[in-house]
Amino acid sequence: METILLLAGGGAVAGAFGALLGLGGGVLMVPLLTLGFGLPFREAVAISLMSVITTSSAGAAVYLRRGLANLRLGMTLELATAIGGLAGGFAAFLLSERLLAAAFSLLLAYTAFSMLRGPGEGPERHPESRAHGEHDAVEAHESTLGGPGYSVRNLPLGMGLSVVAGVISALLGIGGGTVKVPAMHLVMGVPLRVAVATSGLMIGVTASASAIVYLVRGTVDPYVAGPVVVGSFLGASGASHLSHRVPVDVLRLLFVVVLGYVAVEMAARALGLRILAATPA
Amino acid sequence: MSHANPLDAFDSGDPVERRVAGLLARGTLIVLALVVLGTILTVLAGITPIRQPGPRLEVGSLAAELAGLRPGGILWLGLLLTVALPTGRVLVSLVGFARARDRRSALVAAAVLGVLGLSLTLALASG
Repeated sequence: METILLLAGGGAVAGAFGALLGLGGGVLMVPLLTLGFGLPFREAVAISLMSVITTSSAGAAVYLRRGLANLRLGMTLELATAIGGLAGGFAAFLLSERLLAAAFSLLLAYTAFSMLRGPGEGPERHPESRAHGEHDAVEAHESTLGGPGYSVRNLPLGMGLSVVAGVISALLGIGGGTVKVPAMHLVMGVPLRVAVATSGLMIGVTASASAIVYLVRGTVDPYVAGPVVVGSFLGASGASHLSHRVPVDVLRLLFVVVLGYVAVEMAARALGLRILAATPA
Repeated sequence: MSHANPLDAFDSGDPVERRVAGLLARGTLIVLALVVLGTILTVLAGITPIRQPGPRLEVGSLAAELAGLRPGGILWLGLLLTVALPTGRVLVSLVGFARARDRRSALVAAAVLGVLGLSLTLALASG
């Protein structure tokens, strides 16, 4: 009983954390399962993926109803991430993991710094202003992706970064949220809360593709996954209902802390060190 | 940003988003019910997770496991539904966009399904 409660508690914390920041929560779940419960790394990743999917579905149900998650934008970026993930799978044998981890660590450090400064004042182009401008396919699609009080800009760059997020996920086993949230917020002009909610919506699909492989290969232990899923649901539901009470500056700071942690983890990996059990999703 | 933020009081009026939200809300509740029941049965059966490894997924015997109210079978059904929900969400979006004659979004949703199917096939084929 004690083990079940501890697993559910871990799932609740990971779910709340993931729903609040648009990340998978694997950054907490995998070390908990490997270091705290002594599970093998692969099993921990498999259980963590179940937690990520639950967090995504439970959080997205709330965020979509409240108009915070942007389904069309999420789908568009999801496509880019999925293509990146596919390409990453093929590139896995061509690229040096340590070199990639070093480059990603630098990118995350720069992103953390940029997040602290907030989004830039890029040229925000509203649909009305496009009436007299060029009307190519990208702009036409951009104009359908905005939401209440914001419009989406720099779609090609945002999609390019989502491809990078997919490649990095496939090669380094970390979730794409650390790339997608800053890309949406800093590059595409999407409010931070929307970026977090939309990223949360997207991660479920990518995690489910990986989870099926783990299920088929028999790496998921249902007795462990059950309590974790229950905890993740409760944590994600609670956090997504309460997220609007968390000031944006606090969200931003929390996100910067996570980026900093993952940057250090990636730097350690580039140097051949290991801080904690490495962090997927 | 904190004053008159249009996101604070916004409620999605988009029918596709509402339908997807409904699917996810109902789906996660069904998953929760199954997984809670499975976990309670696990406790009642005196099983300690981690110390006693769970059964592997055997699709052929799942119906018998469910009929016998065995914790492993009920947990597996909940976990399978968990994994199926995000793909279901893309499918519902595809149908919703198609009905709303939002061709561009429908194409994107179809492409997401296609890429997911392809990556899954490749992953399973690679063993």
